[in-house]
Amino acid sequence: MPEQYPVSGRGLGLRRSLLRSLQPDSLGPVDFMEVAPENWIDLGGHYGRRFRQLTEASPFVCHGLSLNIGGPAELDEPFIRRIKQFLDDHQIKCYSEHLSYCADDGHLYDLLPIPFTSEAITYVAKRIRRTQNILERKIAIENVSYYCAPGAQMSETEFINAVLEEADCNLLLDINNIYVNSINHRYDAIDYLHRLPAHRVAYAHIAGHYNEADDLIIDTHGADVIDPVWDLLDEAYRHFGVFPTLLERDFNLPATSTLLEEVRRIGDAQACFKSPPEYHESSNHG
Amino acid sequence: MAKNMKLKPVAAALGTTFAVTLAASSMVNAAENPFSATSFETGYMVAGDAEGKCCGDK
Repeated sequence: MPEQYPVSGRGLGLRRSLLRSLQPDSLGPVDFMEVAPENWIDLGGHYGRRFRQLTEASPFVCHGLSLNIGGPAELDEPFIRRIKQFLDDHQIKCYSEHLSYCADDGHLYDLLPIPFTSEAITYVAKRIRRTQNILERKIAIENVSYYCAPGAQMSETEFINAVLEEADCNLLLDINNIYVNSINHRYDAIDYLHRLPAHRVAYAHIAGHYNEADDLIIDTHGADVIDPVWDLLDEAYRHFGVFPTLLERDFNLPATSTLLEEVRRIGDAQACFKSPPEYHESSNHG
Repeated sequence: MAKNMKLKPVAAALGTTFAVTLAASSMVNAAENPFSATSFETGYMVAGDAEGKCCGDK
């Protein structure tokens, strides 16, 4: 496993409803799992015990919801220290967050787009560095889905690359978000993908979405992954080499056996692209 | 973008924010500023069996 990858293989986002059907000794194709720390950090009792059993049985990564890395409010450093304790307590392999903002004086419970500006790059990168210093580890930042781009002075990929470089952090590559944004903002998803830095990819997300209209789709994690998104994952493996990839499902959860079939399909795709990465050779891939 | 684009996620965000604000303001004394808010003990609130998510609801 390359040093940059904190886990390997196929992952599944753990939701509380899955606790009934996922047993620590029979996780099937699931090589690693992910939770939002906000949903589990203070849980004791039954949920707390089951979570502990799973973290002892499987590698885990964390995907935060409320760090508010791009927000106007001061960083919530006591919260970041609680996250650090949680990561240490459960030997979490990686902590990721969204390249977005979600709070000021209070939490908005939604992820909003940071303006793609030089000023925002400096601001966000400084906050990521501070977070990494407190956590004493690198974090991964996710390319988010967004439905408007206020104040943009550069492209999204220019913004993301600059933040990753200035913060010296990793990238959580969300394949479905690239697809969703490529439809909503009318850009070429493969061209976008090729502009991201291979050496910073920590792991990836794949998910389903909702079609509001032909030219407006919503990142819901509420449906099966569609073929164009699987194709984009294939292209990412072809371009970057195989990296760990996790299925997110938050709404309309099917039977666990059906969910695990999608996890298996990630493995099938990974098996097809085990050859060395080609990203250093050319950006022109068929 | 679509001519008839519906910004449902934004609408949902505003709706959620408003609901949270209302929930918080109900904790303060009515004689105080009705628009002030009380911080939750843990900052980010996950109520009951509900889980925080990083996606839009449809």
